[in-house]
Amino acid sequence: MLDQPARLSTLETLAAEGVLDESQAARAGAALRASLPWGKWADRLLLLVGTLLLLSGIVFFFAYNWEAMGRFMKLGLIEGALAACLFFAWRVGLERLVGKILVTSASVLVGVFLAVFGQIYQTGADAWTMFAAWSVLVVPWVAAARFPALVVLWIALLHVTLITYVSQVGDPFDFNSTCLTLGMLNAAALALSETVLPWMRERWVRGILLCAALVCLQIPATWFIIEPGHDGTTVGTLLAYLAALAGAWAAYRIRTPDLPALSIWSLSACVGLLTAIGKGMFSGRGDEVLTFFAFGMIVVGVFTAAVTMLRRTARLLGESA
Amino acid sequence: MTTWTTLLEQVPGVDTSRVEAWLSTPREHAHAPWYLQAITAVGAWIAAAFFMSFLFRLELIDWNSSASFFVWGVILTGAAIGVARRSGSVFLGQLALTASGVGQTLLLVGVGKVADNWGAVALTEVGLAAALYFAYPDALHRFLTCGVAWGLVVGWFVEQKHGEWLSVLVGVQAVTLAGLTARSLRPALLPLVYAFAAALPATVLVMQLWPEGSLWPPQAILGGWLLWLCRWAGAGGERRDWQALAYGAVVALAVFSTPGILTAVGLLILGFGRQDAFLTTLAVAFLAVFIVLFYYHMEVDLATKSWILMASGILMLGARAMLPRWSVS
Repeated sequence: MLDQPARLSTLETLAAEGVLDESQAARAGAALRASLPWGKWADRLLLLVGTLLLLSGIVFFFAYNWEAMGRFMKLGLIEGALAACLFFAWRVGLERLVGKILVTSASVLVGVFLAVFGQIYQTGADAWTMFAAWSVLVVPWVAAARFPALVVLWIALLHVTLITYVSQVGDPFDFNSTCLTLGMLNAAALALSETVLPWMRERWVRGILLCAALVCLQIPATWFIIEPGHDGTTVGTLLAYLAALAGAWAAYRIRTPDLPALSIWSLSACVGLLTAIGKGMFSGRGDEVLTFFAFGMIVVGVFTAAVTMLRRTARLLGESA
Repeated sequence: MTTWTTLLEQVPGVDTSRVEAWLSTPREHAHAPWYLQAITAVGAWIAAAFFMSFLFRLELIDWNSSASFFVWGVILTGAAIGVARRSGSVFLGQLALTASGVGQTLLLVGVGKVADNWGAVALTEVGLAAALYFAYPDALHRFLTCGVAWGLVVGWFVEQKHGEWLSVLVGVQAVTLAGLTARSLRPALLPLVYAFAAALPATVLVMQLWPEGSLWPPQAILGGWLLWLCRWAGAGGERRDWQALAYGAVVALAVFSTPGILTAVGLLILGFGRQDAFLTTLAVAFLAVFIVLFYYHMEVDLATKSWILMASGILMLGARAMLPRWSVS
């Protein structure tokens, strides 16, 4: 047991239970904090925040629409920065974080280039075409970099493309099919990351994609429960949501149990189930006053079941619960 | 990663066999992960809304009678304490949390109706939070009541347009956080640390969005807190050059940034130093918010702003390039 990594929370519990005295715990805590990789932490923080600020500055610079600057100068500057990012990424190598961030920066600069190009030549095309072109052009870098943050950025870009398409063109998408398409896109990305893309298996990526998939599928499914047919919702909408819940259960409770993912699942399932029960209870002709009390008790019961299941899973995984 | 063996070797007089025996015994941890606690809280809040509707629809509470608010508030809060202290069941625990939420809300509305004063409501909740911290031994309940008490106090100060009182609140929060985390933290006090850690950036956010007072007092207080955190982080180490670098960076941040950025960086240090996912998540979220606010509120045109942003980015990347190699490896 003593060969396991020491944790501050455990150290504090040891002190609270009298296994260590106050001064021993304080001394061990200070030694533990000092042994943490603070340099690596500062390195990552400066790299990420610095890159974000620099890229934001570049975006704002071109958004200013400099009249004194010629079109070739503007496009040349962006292309130069883009080429520099790719050159240094190649020099550094894509297996290092710096290389991955350089490719991500290049991917952002493609969007800046397309926006400035549209601004200069006033092509008259809808905004969705710019996002679509941006999404397509960066595909090779997304594939090559193997960087979860870039993939998430790319998926977000696909969302923006579809949403701007629906708002500017619409046909053949309505509210229901837009939500279903986005939900399935997120679910497919999650399924791929869990099966064939091991470098995508990070908890934060899993959390974002699972949340996005369930929210996109749950919104129309909830409308269907409350008012079938609203905004084009059908039984298929509800079935798609239930299939996503079943898939997530199989993946994160049976195949590879994961507590944060199961927590997201539980919250979504509780809301879905309570919407269905609430619809049944409040649209009936029962005693309305008692219905409020009964529904309150059902809410407590449903969430208790979810928390009990999560605690059992936590014990199974040996995580704190 | 430092193992227990390596760590305990640095502390004289430790009975390692006792520590090993303790670590080998399987036991329930004192606190569930924060996301599990969040689900419990969501359930309790939804249920509380329906129970409250039930009480009003049954006309057990008369809107015109503050006494009925007090009576039901005391009954429900008392019942919640009794159930929470005696029962180990998840269902009853969830029910108690809900009852306590309803009871406290009724009590506060009752106080508000009698006193017609936000300050009285806020101070009542501060008193309730302090009393319930001992009476209701549940981590989530402690976090939520402290958080609600903070929210009401801030609301009171904003309503009174007392910006300087908000600065005092920031000072109290920073000093309390430092005091609580300076030595070995008792697990029972962890919810208080979380509540203060969430309240501190939220208070600063309120100050930056509705500036009723000068921002230099919180800037100075938080600069001092950040310096203390640097010392706290490296207290057990031997690299004095690393600490000097950190102090320099803090002074530069305190001079050129905002209280919000200082708070978020402080929470990042606290989160990493305590290896705490909740604090780190909180810090990252608030850092993003405060960086956006910092540049958004600059009273310069877009072109100048873009230059400042690019210069800030280059400065950070330059600072990274100058980090001593030993510190990164």
